[in-house]
Amino acid sequence: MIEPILAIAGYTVKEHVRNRVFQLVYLFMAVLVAGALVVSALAQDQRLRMMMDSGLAGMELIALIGILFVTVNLVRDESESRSIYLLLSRPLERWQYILGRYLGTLSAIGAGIVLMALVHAGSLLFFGWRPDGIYATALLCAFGKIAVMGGLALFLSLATTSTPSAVAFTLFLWILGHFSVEISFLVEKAHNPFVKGIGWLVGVAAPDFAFFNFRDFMDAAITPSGEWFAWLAVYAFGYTLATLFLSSWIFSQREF
Amino acid sequence: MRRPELLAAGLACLMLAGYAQSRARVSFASPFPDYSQLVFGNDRLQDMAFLSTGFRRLAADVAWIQYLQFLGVRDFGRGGYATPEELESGVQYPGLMLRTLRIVRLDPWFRQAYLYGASVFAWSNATKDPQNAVKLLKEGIHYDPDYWMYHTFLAAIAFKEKDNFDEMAETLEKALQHPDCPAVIKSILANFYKAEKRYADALRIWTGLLADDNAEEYHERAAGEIVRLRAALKR
Repeated sequence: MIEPILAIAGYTVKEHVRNRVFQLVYLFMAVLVAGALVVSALAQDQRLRMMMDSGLAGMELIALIGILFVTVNLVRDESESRSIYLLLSRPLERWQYILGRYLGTLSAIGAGIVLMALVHAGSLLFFGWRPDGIYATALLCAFGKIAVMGGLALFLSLATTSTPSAVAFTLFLWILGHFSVEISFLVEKAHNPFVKGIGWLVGVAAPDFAFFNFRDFMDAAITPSGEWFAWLAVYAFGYTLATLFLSSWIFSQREF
Repeated sequence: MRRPELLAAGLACLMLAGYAQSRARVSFASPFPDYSQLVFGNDRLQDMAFLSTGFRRLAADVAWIQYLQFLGVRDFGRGGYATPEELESGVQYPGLMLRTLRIVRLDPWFRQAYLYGASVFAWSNATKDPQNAVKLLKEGIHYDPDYWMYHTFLAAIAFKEKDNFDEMAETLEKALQHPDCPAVIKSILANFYKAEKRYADALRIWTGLLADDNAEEYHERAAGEIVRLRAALKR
């Protein structure tokens, strides 16, 4: 059961590494780190902080752009080129194909994040940064966000009819995900049951990214507990799995 | 409908995620100031763009750079922070308090912003307003109660307001030993020593600033002050 998934994940990683768009995205990261070096000089004695924040934000943004534009075309390209017929004619379940493609993409993006983090951490060390666990946790949380976004982008690419609409919906949900606390507040305050219901539905269906911005706690006097991290992991895993199951379900309805 | 079990599993996972979301919220409430407490001015589009993409600390960093430009070269940027009273009174830095609050409400643990803002309000003649300095430090203590530097600064301001300059200098000297101490407070204390004709103490602080890689903006001034103070000591 695992072997076909790993085989598809393996060729997906190779496909992405050879993809020019993918390579350009990481080249852009190098430019971004260099840019952070220049801009951070304006922050005077807060240079290290500025480099840290702009680097972490840049990495997340680059990874997001990477996973978004790669994932929305992940299945669509193979469907349009009809190479998918070759795959599905083999003893392969459609959900295995979806899971393999997703895991391959996530691995490629994960490797990219590690590469970017090495460049970023190197530049921070040069300016006197002392490595700590918070940096690794912030990176891990950012990766969780990217994993959720990847699943969501895959689901939307299958649920919508065109690439631009899938991109637009994914970006919209990404922004909405940063206002999850505010959505909950509106649901609490709403008196109209219809509005309350819609708000609740949006709150559950949209990702909750308020959890994943651990980098905001970098200098905080108060940090989340271990229990919070455990629920965060359950949330990321549950939400991603939900998008993958739903993607597999939509894909299983397709006629080829 | 083919494979309904996949749809059921997807919805079950979504419910699990919803449950984890509610449990996480119970286990840790967001300690950040509400959006209603944020100070935007005419930079609201910029700040909201950062917030809506989850880059809260970066928003504070950019606001910090704009704040330094405002204080350094009176670059008003998009403005929108000054009250009509401030604009009418012709103060040199209108809206300074709101500009400081903008940064610390975006990142309530931006220690340097509290300390720098409080220093400017407490000791700079151009922006003197000790009440604002105290207000800022108290807000800092609310989010970071164990950070001793806020308490030290409060004590120093209290001594200054009572014209107890020796106690003020002694309190600030303690702060100077800490790497977090803003360069602006070092220069303020050095100037105070110079005015009190304590040239050796002033020289010690300027020499330290000249050697401080994080205070490059003071190096030129420090070099000049060191020459003048050495000459004064020889007299």
